[in-house]
Amino acid sequence: MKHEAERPENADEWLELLPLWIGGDLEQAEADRIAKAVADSDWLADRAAELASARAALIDGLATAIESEPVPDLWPGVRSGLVAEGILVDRSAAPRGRVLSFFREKRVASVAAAAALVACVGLAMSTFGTNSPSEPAPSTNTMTLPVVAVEEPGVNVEPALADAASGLGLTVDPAVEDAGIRRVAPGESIRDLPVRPVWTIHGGLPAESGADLASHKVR
Amino acid sequence: MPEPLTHAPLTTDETGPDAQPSPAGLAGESTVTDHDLIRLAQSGDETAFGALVQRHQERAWRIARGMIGDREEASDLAQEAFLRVFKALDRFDFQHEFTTWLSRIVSNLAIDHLRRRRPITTGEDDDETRPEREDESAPRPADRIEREETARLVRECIDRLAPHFRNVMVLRELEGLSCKEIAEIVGATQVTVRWRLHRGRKLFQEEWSRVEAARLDGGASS
Repeated sequence: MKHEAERPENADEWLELLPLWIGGDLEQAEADRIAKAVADSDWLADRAAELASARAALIDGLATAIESEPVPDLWPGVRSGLVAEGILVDRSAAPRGRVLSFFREKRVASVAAAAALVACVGLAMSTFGTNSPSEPAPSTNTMTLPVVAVEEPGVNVEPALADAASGLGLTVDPAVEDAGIRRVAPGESIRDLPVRPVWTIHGGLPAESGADLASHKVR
Repeated sequence: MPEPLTHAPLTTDETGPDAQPSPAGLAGESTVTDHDLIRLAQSGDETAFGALVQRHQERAWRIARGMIGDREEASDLAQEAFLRVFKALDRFDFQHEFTTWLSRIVSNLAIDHLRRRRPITTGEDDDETRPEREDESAPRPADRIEREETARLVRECIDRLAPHFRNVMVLRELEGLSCKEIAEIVGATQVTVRWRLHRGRKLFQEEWSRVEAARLDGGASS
C-alpha cells in the first residue's frame, strides 16, 4: 500500500492531465511526461488510481446494463413510422391500391358506373348525332363502353347500369354475359382491362342531341 | 410537418418472381457496403433501407441506452433516429461514414431529449430510475447482484452529468471511439472533445466517490 505523500507543487497541471492520461487520450509526449510524474509521486499515483477506478466502474456498469438487455429490432417500428407518415405503403393494403379502394363503397361504385355509361353514350351520340333528324334512326347500334372495375366481391354495379341504360332507352345485349362489368383480379391493373362493346341500342336513339344526352342526370 | 420526399418512393415485392432478399439477409451481406445500401434506398429500395437499419440498430440503441436510463425511451429514440435518417437520406454525403452520421443523429436526439426532461430532484424519482428487477426475492449469484447494483449506481452518476458530457463519455468509454471520431460525430473540435472528456471523467469520479462513500456508510451502519 502506498503511503500518503505531499501534494506536488505543480499538482494542478498534472491533475488537468490525469483524467485524459488514465483513458489513453494524451499525445505520446504528454503521456510520457505524466507517467514519469506519477511514478515519482505517491500522491499523484493515488489520484490516478481513484480516477482509473471510477472509470473502470463506469465502463463495467454501462456494459453490464446494456449487455444484459437484448437489442430491440427497430425495423418494424421504423417501417410503421414511415407508413404512418405516408412515406411507405402499408403492405396489407398495397396489392389493391388506392384507386380501387375508391370503389369499395357500393353507392360510389354504382354512381361511377352510371356516370361512365352516360359519358360513353354522350360520346357515341356526338358521332351518331350527325344524322339528319328527318332520316330514320338506325334500328340498332353497338357502342363501346368502358369496363367498370370493382374491387370488393360483394359489390354489384349492374342495377345502376341497368337504371341508367333504361333511362336512355338502352338495354343490355343478352348476348353479352357480364354487361361490361369485370372484377379486377389480384395482380391485375385496371389499365389492363379490355374495353369492349357490350351495349346494344334497341328502337333507335332518342331525338335528343348528343350534348343533352351527355348531360342526362343519373338518378 | 413532414419533410418532402425528394427521392423515389420505396417499393417492395416480397411475393413476386423478382422477390428481393430480406432486410436481415441483405444486412448480413458483407460485400454490400453501407454506401451501397444507401444508394439502393435512395433509388426506392425499401429492403435496402431495412438492411441498413438492421445492420446498425445495435450501435444506435447502445448509444441511446448509454445516455438514457429508460430502456423504452432509448428504443424510441433510436427508432426516431432511423426515421430522421430516412427523411434526410437524399442529403447523405458519401464522403463520410454512415455510422458517423447515424451516431450524430442519435447523440443529438438524446441530448435534446435529456435537456427537455425535467431534472430529477433528490430521491423523488428513485423508483422510476431504478432498473426493473425480475424478482427481488429470487436467489441470484452474489456477483451478479453486485454487478447489477454497480450498474445501477453508475447509471445514477451518469444521469447527473450534463448531456454533452454524457454523450462524449458514452462514445468514448462504451463505444471505444477515438477523440477524432467523436469530434466528427458531435461536430466539435478534438480540443473540445478532450476537454469534455476530461471534465466528464472528473465529474463522474466525484459523483462515484460520493456514491461509494454512501454505500460504505450504509454497509457500516447496517
